[in-house]
Amino acid sequence: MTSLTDPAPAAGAPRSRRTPDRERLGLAVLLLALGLFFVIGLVLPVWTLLSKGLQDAQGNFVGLANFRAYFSEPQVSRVFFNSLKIALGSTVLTLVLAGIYAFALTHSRMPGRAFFRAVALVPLLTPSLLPGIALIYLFGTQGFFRDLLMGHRLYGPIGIVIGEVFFTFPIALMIILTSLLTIDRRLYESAEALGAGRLRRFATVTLPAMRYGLSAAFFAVFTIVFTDFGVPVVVGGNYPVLATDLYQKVIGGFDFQMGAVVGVLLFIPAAIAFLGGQLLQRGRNAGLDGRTVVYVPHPSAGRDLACLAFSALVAVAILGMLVMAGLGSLFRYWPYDLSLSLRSYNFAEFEPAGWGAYRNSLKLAFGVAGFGTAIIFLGAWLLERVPAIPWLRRTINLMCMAPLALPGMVLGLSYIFFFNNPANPLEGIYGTMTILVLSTIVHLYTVPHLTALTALKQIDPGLEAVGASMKVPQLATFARVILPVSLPTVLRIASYLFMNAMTTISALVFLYSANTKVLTVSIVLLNDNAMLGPAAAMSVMVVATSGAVVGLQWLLMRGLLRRSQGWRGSEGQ
Amino acid sequence: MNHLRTGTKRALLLSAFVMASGLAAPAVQAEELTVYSAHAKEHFAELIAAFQEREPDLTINQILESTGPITARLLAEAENPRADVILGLSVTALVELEARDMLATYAPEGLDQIKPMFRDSADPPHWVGSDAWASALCYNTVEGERNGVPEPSSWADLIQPEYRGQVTMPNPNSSAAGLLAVVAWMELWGEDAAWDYMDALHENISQYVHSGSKPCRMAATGEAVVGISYPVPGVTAINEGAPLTVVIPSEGIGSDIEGVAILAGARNMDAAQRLMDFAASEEGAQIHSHYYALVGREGVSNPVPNYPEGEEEALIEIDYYWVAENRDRILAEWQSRYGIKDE
Repeated sequence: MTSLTDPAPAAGAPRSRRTPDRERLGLAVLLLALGLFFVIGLVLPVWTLLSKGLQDAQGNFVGLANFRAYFSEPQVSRVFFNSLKIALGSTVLTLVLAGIYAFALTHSRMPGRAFFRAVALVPLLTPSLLPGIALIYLFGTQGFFRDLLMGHRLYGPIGIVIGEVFFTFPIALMIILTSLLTIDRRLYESAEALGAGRLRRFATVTLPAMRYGLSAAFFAVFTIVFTDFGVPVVVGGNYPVLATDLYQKVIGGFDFQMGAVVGVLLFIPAAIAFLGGQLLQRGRNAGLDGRTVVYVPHPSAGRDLACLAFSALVAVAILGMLVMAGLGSLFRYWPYDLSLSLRSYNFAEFEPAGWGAYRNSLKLAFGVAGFGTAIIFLGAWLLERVPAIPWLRRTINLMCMAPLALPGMVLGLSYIFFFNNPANPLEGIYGTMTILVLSTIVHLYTVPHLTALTALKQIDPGLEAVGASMKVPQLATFARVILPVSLPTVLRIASYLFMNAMTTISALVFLYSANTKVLTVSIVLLNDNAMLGPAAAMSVMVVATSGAVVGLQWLLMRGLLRRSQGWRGSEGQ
Repeated sequence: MNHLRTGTKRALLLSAFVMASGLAAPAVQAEELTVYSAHAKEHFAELIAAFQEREPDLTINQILESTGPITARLLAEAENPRADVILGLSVTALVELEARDMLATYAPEGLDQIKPMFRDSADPPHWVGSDAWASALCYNTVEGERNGVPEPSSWADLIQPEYRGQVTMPNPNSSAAGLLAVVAWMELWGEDAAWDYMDALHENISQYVHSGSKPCRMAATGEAVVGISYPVPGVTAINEGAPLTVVIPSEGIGSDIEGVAILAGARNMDAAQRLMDFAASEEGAQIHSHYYALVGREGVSNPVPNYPEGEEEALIEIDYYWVAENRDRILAEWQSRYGIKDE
C-alpha cells in the first residue's frame, strides 16, 4: 500500500500557449462532472444521514436527543461492546494465521506454494454469508462435526469469529505478504555475514518488515469485521452486533432516527481505523524499490515440513468450507434426508423472484464493472495527469479515499434518506437498478482508484508533453496510448469490481426493491426463513460466477501480457 | 488518418454515457403491478402464479416479508406509496392502515359470497379476508426423543423444566404469529397472568426469531424441538418428509384473518382491483384452501393432508380493534422484557 493520497502535480506538460483553451475547458468540465458524481453519490447522502440523526420523526432539529435516547436503552452498550469484542478477537486470530501463512509462503521452500497462495484467495470470491451457512452444516445444532465444539453453541460469538476469520483471511494475507516480499535479500546476507543467528535474523529483519504489514492488516481487517453484516446475520443467533442491530431497526421497524444513530456509531470506529491506517502509511516509502533483490530462503527440511503442515491445514479448512456449502446445497432435506438432489436450485420454489435474482446480480455486477471501471480509470487519469484546477483535484482525491472508511450499511442507509425523498429531483432512481449500481460503485471506489493511480504514476510523465508538442489533444493521448498500455490494470479493476459487486450485501440490503432483488439479498431472506438448502445453492452460484469471471480475467491477462507487454520484461502480475 | 475533433469526440462520449445510463432504467414501460404481502411463501407463490397465468402481459413486482417489516414499510411509504395492492396481511395491521386513511375502498366481484366476519364493515369495504389461521405448535419427534422432550399438548406444558432451551417463538414486533400467541394468552388468562406465563416461557426459549414461519421450519430441521407458529409451514414440512407433528394446544388458540386491500393512491388501480377480484373469487378461495382450513368464501373447503385436527373448535374470540389499539403498548412492554434473546 503506497502513500497515494496526494495527486502528482501537473505531470510534465507546461502551460504552453499552444494548448487550446477549449481543450482545457473540456477537461475541466470532466473534472467537475467527477466532482459532481462524488457530491451526489457520497457527500450529500452522508450529510443527510448525519442530519437525520439530529432530527426527530417530523424533521425538527432535536440536537443529541436521539443519541441520548439510544444510550438510555438498557442493551445499547452491550451491542457496541459485542461488536468491539468480536472485531478485536477475530482480527487477532486472523493476523496470527495470516502471518504464519505469509511466512510459510515467502520464507520456506515447501512445495506447492503457488497452490497455497491461490487457495488462500478463494474466500474473496464468496459472499460473507457463505462461511456462516457452511458453519451451520459443519458445527450447527445438526452439524456433522458439532461435537467438536464440546458443548458450546455455534450461534453467537464462536460462529461469528470463525466466519469472519475465514472471510478476512485473504485480505490480511495479501497485505502481510506484500510487506514480506519487499525484504531485500542482501539484508539477510549482511546479517548472516555479521554473525547473526537464525532467531536474531528473524527478530531484526523479518519481524520489523512484518510489523508494518501486520499493523496495516490490523486496521483493514478490524474495519471489515466491525462493520460486517453477512456473518452475524447467519450465525449470530441472539448475540447482537451493531450491523444486525442497524438492520433490525431499519428493516424491522423502519425506525430511521434510531437507524441513523446506529449508523453513526458504526461509522466512527471504522473512520478511526481508517485514519490510523492512513497515518501509518505516511512515514513509509512506497512499495518495491527497483533494485531490491528478492529473498530466496536457505533449504531446511524441518522448517519446510512444519510450514507445509500448517499451510495444508489452513487450505483444507478454507476448501472444506466451500465444499460443505456446495454439498449442503445438494441435500434433499437436511438433516433428515441426505440424498443428493438439485431441488434447492429450483429457486422459484423458495423465493418469489426465483432465478430473476441471479439475473439481477449479473446486471448489477456487469453494470458496476462497466461503468465503475470507466469512471474510476478516467477519474484517476484526470486527477493524476491533467493540469487543471489543483484545488478541485486535491478535494476530489480526498473524496476518493472516503468510501474506504464508510461501512456499506451506512452508505445504503444514507441513500434511503437522500434519495427516497419526494423533494429530491433524482428521486426516480430509488428502487431501480441504477441506485444499486451507483451505491456499489461508490462503496467500492477506493481500492480500484488506488490501483489505477499506481499504474498511471508508472507511465512516463513526458508522454503528455510529447502529445502536446504534436498538437494531439490530451484525450487522444489517453485513448491511444495510456489506455492500451494500462490494459492489464483496467482488466484487474474490472474483475475486482465484478467480483465484489457479485458478493456485496451491506449497502444493498437497504436499497433493494420488489424487482431488483439480487442473490445476496435473497440469501439473507432465505436464511431468515430457515431455508438453508436454497441459501447454500445461491451462495454456490455467487462463488461459481465470480470464480468464472476472475478465471476468465486471469486467462485474458496471461494472453494479453504475453503479447503486448513483453517489452516490460517480467512485470509482477 | 481519421482524427475526430476534440469537441466532436467529447460530445460523442457524453451522449454515449447518457444513452448507456438510460439503459439502466427499464426501457419498455409494460403494465406493472407492485404487490406487498405477508402470506406464507408457498401460499403466495401459488396465488401469484395463478394470477400471472390470467394476466400474461402484466409484470408483477413483489415484496414478501413478515407482518412487522411489511407494515413498517407501508407506514414509512405513506407519503409516497410504492405498492399498489396488499395481498395478504394480518387484519390487525389492515385496521391500523385503515385508521390512517391509507386504503382505498373497493367491492370485489363475489363480495356477496364472502362470510361476514371476513370483511370490513364499511360499504364498499376497505379490506376483504382471504383466510383465517390460528396458532399451533410444531414438535420434532426425532429431536424430542433424542433430548428427552415430550410432545406438548397445551400451552402450560411449554413452561415445564424439560423444555429449557428447546423452544423458539416469533418476536411479536415482527410477526403476526408471535403477536397472535401473545394476544391469545391475554385473552385466555388476562393480561397480568399472561405476562407471568411469558416470563416463565422466556426461560425455555432459545431464541426469538423474526419470521412467523421460522420456528416451525427450525423444528422441522432439528434446530429447535418445539416451535410456536402456525400450521401452514409445519404441514408443508410434514408433507416434505420432516419428522414433525403439528399440535393444537388444549387451552385454545387465537385466530387471525389475512386480507387483501388496495392502497389509496395506487399507481395501477385497475390491475390492483383485478387482483382483489381474483383473491375473492372461487379460484382464489380454492388456492387459499390448499393451506388453510378456514377460507373467506362460502362453500369452499379442502382437506389438507396432515393438517391438525380440531383447529376450528379450539378457536377463541379475538377483538381485533382492541388489539390494534393496544398493540404498541404490548409490543413495547414485550421488547423491554424479552428483547435480550431476540435474533
